[in-house]
Amino acid sequence: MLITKLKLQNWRNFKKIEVDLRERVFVIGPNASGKSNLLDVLRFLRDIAKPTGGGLQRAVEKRGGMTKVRCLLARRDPEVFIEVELADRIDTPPLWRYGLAFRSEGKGKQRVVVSREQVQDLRSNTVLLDRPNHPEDRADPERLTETSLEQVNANKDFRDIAQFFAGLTYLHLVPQLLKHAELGATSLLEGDPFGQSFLERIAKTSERTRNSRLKKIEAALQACVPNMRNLKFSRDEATGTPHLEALYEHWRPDAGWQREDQFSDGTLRLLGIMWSLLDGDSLLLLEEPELSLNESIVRQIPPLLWQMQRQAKHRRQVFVTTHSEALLEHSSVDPRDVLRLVPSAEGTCVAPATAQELELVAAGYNVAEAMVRKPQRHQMTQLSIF
Amino acid sequence: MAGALEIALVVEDALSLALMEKTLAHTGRRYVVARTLVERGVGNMRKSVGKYLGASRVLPHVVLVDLDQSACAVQLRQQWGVANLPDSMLFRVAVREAEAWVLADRLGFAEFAGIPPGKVSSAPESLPDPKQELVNLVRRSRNKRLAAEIVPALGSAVPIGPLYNERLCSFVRAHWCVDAAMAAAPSLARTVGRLQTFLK
Repeated sequence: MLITKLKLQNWRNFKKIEVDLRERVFVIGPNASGKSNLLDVLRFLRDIAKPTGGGLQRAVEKRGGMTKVRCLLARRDPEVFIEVELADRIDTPPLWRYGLAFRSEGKGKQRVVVSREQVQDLRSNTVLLDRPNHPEDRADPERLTETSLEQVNANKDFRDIAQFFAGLTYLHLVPQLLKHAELGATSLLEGDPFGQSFLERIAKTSERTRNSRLKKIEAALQACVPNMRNLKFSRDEATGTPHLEALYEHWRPDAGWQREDQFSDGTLRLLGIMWSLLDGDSLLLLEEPELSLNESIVRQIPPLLWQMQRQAKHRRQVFVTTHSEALLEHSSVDPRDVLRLVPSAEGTCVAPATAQELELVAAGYNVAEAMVRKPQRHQMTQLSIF
Repeated sequence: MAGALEIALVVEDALSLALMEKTLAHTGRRYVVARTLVERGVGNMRKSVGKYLGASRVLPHVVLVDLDQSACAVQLRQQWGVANLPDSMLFRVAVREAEAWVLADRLGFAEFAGIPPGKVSSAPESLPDPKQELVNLVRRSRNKRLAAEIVPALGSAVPIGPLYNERLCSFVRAHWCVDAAMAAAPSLARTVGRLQTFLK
C-alpha cells in the first residue's frame, strides 16, 4: 500500500496543506521549512498505531504535548487534523481514507481527546467508523482519549490501515553510532531511527533472505564502491556480536577483509538505506540520504532507490528529505515526485510545479534546475557576515 | 506587468551574474529574471547549450559566456553550434572575460581597489588575461585587507583569493557604472544594444 494523498491542518508549521503523493517523494525546501515535520506526521501515525507502546496520548506526549504539535498560527481552530488516502498501487483508485482530528481536553488534566475520527472504505464508499457520533462515545467520553486505530477491538474492519502505519520505518542512520556502540548502548531509541541496531536487524533475518538481500545490495553498491566484494554477514566467534564484512580488493588475497566499523560513513549509510528498502512493506522515510556521500554518488541515489524498490518483495513507498540539488539532477526525477515546501507568514505551504516549470522539464531542464534554482536575491551577500 | 519580459539568465559564475543583472537593469526595459542558472564553468554551459535552445521556446534565454582563449566571438559561436539562433535566445560573449567589463569602469574600479586610475587599462578587452590583471592591480592596493581578500596567497595554485567573488560582486552591485564601462568595453556596449532590442 502507499499513501496517495495527505491533508494536514494545524500540524506544527503547516496551517493547511493538501498534497498528492507518488511512490517516491522528494521533500525539498530551505532550512527550517518543515521537511522533518512533514515526515514526523507519518511517524506520528505510526506511534499511534504500533502494537507495543502505541497510542494517541503517548504519541503526543513524546512530542512534548499539544502545544508543540499544534501549529502556532492556529488561532481560532484548536484542532489538529490529519487525513490520508491509501491505495494499493500508484495510479489506481484509493482504497481507504483515514481522518483524525484531536485537540486538548480544555479542562482537568488537559489530556488529548479525539474530536473526529473517520474511516472510509472507498471501494464500496461506506463509512466504517465515524466518531464521536458513535453511541458508545457519547455514553463514555473517556473513550475519546484513545483512537480506534490503536485498538485491536475497534480496528477489526480496517486493520490493514493500522498495520500499514505500524510498519512504517524512519531512517536517519548515523554511522558513528554504529561504529562506536559504546555511544548509544544505554539509550536505544524506539523504532531505532538512527540505525544503532541495524546489525541486529540483519541478524534476525533468516539466513536465506539475508544472503539474497546482501547479494542484491552488493550488486547495487558496485557502482558506488567499486572495490568492495563479498559483502557478508558474520558473528564474532567469541562474543556472538553480529557484523558485516566485506573484502576490499588488494593484491594479497585475504588481506582486505573489513568490518562495518572500518567501512566508510557513506558506505554504511548506503547499506542502511538499501537494506531498509528491501526489508519492510510499509512506508520508508529517509532523512537526507546524501550526507557523507560524494556528489557523483548522490546523483545515483534516485536510480538506486528505484532499482531497490523494484527488487524488493514489497515495493515500499519512499519519502526522502534533501538539500542536495545533485540528488534531483537525475533525469528520471519527475516534478510530480517533488514536494517543495515554501515558508510563509501563514505557515509553510507546498508549491507544486508551475506550468512553466513543467514545460521547462519537458524541454530538457532537470527538476533541480527547473524547481529548485530560483532567482535568490543575492543570497550570497545576505549570508555573508563580512 | 505591461512590457515586462521574463527571461532565464545563464552565466558561468557569480560575477557574470552580478554584471548581467546590472546590465539588464541599465537597458531601461523591464526585464524579469524568472530563473538564473549559474553553471559553474564553461564546460557545463557548452554541454547544455542544446537544452537552452529547447527551453527558450518556453522561456526566452539570455546566455553570457567568456570568450577566454578563442580567437573571436564568431568562431566561438560556430564551435558551440549557436551560429543561428531562434529569436527567443540571446547568446552574448564577453570579450576575453567578465573581469574585462569590471575593469572597463576605470574610475569606479580604481576607487574600489584603492589604486590610481591611470594604472587601469583603458582598453581592457585587449588584455590577454583580465582576471590576472585585476588581481595584479589589487595586489598593489593601499587597502591591504582588500588585497588579502582578493589576491591568492603566495604560492597558491588558484588564481583568486578567498573572497574574490563576494567582494567583486558587491562592488558591481553597488558601484559599477554601466555607462562608463560601455565606453571602454565594446562587447558590453553591443550586449546592451542587443538587450534593448531583444524580442521587441
